[in-house]
Amino acid sequence: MSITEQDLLNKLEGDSKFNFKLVGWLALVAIAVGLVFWQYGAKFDVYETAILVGTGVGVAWIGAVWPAMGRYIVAVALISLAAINIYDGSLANGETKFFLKYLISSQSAVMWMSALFVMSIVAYGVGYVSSFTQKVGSALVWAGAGAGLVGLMVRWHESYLIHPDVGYIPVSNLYEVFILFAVITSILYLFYERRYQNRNLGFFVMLVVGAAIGFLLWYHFSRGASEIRPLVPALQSYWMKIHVPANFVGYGAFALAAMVGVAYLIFDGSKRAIAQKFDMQMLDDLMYRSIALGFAFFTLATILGALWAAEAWGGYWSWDPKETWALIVWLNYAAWLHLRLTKGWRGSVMAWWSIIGLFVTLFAFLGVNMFLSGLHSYGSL
Amino acid sequence: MQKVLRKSFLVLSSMSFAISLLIVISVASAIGTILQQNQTFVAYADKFGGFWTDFFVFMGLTNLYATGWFLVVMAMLLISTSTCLTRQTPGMLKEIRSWRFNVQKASFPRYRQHVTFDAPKDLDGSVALSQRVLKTAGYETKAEQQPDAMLVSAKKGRWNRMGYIGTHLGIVVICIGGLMDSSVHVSMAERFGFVTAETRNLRLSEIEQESWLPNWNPSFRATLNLPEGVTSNAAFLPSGEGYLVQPLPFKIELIDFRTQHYPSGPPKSFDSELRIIDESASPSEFATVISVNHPLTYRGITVYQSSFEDGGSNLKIDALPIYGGEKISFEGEVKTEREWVEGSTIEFDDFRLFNINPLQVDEETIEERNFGPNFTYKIRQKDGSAREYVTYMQPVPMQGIPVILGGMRQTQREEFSYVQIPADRLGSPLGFMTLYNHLADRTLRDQVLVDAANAMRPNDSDEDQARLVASLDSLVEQVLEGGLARVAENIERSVPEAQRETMFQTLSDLAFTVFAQAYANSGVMDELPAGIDESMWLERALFAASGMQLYGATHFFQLTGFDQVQASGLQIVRAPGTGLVYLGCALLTLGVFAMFYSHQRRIWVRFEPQENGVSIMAAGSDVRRAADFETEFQTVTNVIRKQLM
Repeated sequence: MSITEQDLLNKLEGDSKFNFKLVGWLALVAIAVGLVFWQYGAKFDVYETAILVGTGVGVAWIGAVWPAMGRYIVAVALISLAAINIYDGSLANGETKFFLKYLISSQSAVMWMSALFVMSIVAYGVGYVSSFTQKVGSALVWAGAGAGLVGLMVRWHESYLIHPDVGYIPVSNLYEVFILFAVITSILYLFYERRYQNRNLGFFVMLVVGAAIGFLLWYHFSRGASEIRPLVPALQSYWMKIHVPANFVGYGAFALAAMVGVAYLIFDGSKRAIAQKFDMQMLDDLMYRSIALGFAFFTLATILGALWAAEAWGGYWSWDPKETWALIVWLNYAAWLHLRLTKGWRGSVMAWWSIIGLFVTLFAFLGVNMFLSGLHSYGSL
Repeated sequence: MQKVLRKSFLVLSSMSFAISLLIVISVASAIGTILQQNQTFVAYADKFGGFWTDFFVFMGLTNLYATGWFLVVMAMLLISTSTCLTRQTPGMLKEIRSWRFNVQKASFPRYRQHVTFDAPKDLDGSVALSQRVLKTAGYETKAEQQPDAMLVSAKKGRWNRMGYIGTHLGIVVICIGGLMDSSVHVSMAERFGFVTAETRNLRLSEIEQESWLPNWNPSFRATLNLPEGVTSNAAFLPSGEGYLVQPLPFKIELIDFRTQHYPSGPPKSFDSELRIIDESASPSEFATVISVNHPLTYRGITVYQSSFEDGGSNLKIDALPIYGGEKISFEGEVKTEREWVEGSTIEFDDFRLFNINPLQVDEETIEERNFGPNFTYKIRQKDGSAREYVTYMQPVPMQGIPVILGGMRQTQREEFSYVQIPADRLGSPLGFMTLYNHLADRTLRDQVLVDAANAMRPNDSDEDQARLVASLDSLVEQVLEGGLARVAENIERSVPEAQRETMFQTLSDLAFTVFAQAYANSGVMDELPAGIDESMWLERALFAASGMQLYGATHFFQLTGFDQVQASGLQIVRAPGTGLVYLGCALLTLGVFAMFYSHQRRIWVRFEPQENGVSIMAAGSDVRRAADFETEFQTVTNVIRKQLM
């Protein structure tokens, strides 16, 4: 984000005004990390401690550059703590206590997330003729992502309530990562919505989130996928906590870029009134930023995956179908970025390519588990 | 010559060439995931036919990632990346250091971002102030006195170019590390005849010297299946249809292999307790536990928990005759074979203590349950044909009736089909066998049929009774062949549609009556488990009886006892390139983030003294032409202007 004139002037005047907000925020995060460590530190190994500290640094940074997100994280944390408090150590309370049963038990929260996200699509759609409805759309996305995050946090607790040995971080099976995907994609969208001060892409991005919600609901209602099942030994590792979220920042950003590509192709050169709402250069820029962000995190995630593989399977690379498809996704976006950055390719070719990229990504994410066998078979349907 | 070299250097380092390679590798890798790798020739031929199998093998598609042309393409990518790197790096380093003071007055307006204004300040003051603004905005600055003006050059984003170097260097380093850890050298040694794979199943001491790899082999990924209580100092590398032997600098003994389960049944952990014996060290041995995700690294070699299997459990078996006779008791050891009746042999393949399977508990719920121990064996006939069997030791409740599961299949490709034999009071299939034998054995069956006919129609004439017996006999024959399903098939063939349903009802009632009679004659009654509904048990028995011919065995093998010996599957790896790969990964990750989030930008500000102030020109450039540089340039120049007013 570019610096504003006012910021620059303030800095120039050697503005030593004590930034209470920032210091307060950092202190809050530090205290939260301290409390978690005080509560659970005895059970952590060195890696888990490092992950906790890293999470603290990450949250502090996000809240510093995006204060609204900082407040949002606090709200999610408080609601999740409230849910944990109402559970009071017994899973049975999920069925009897009103707030859990209808609002913030993990499954209820996920259902709320689904409903809010679907409603946001409608709101953004109507929003093309009424800018107030667009604001409602944004609010629905904020609320939906919050519900999803609370759902994941509470599910984490619920897994430990089933049995302390069973407990695991809920990014470990297909059902959970679909929630993660929906949440991350919508938060990335909210970030860009603020950055570009433009809500016109909400409809498109929330469509792909809506598709994920459709799958999630089918998976829950027809396959009972929301049941918490213990992890197989291969998945019991601290790597899970960093490999999977990094991966889904990548997937989410690629999905966002593809939907921007769809909007680009529909409105490029169009004379219709609605097309005036879209600035092609801005779409192009956003598509690049999103793919760059996705690529950076996907690189990190694939490398983390290789490190984990080295520990679990005895080799950092074994041409397992999932690994191979991760490489294909990576090579695909590497080619995209090379052509854009060094050859200066822009426009509809790159938009088409980012849409195709989403299908390649989708195959790596889902298709491999459905059609090909391999070491990642625990992700299967 | 030099021209050719130069030209090929240009092609190799060109972007189009690199992109083509990326696409070729992507497509080839995708093919490698769709076509299952490293299957046997027969498996491919079965699926695709001879022509395609030959084609796949010729193209190396069945072992794609180790095949020559694929490695060549990968090597090309490595060369392309390295040449690109060597071509670009010097210029980039120079560019980072250079202040680019050679911007002429005339070229300022030609920049996409440029601005001109006058300020009523003295020269030195303006220069100092502008430099301060630029520094505050994150730029490094330097001023230079030019003939008729002062030029301030400002730049930022040096990490961008370092990022470029980092990513590409990272990829080169990863490839080199990966190559160091690959098995290319072993394939080469095999191709040139330094080592030859062993295909027979031999004891370690019997394996010829030509199949042994040297101690100093720099990198390998070997496997070792170690039964409990056994010590080994060698591991195996799969190679084609055979294997090579890799000696280890220490001995490994498996003290114990343990599986833990969650309360609901699924496995929670696999642990191997190992003893490492190393004569050259002191102390010369130590014990340690490895598990999935927690390997052991010792003397540059890493030992991973990768699988487990049976290590030769001892099984106590009662062979219960299905068609009459005495039961035969014997013992067998997993992975051995023994002679059996009529020149056939039994091959004991596996024993598993825990078997977690889904079980229909009631109409709505299916739960994962532990079905208890089972064992797998094959009966191989003289002609080489074999049937494979899997038999559970303990009864499993199926709709309230405990049944013993016996699975059979004729080829590896099929799923097992199961007979579900209702258990007697002792949890044994013996009660059912006696009942079944009363129907399968000619003499006993005749008695059952006569008794049944007598019970049904006590007042009929001998002739009528004989007719009834004959039709009951044919009915029993059908049921034993294929159950009530077979009866229904026959009805469909010979009875008009309108009467089929009543006919079937009548016949199944009759079959049930005969089974009840056989049940009475065989005296199983006293043998039923307590609290079991007799008619439901009998229904199960009828169902089981209909599968016995398909089961195709003379005896049902019941497991009466076992002494489990487990074997742990270890993966033993020496990978000296790992450190290099991780270094490359770090370079790549840092490089990617630096490249995307550090923007290489320059701003020049030119101060020309005027009579009452300075005339200022500013220009800016961003390599990526990012949209937000425009805003940044305007902000910075606006602030400079305001400060100077």
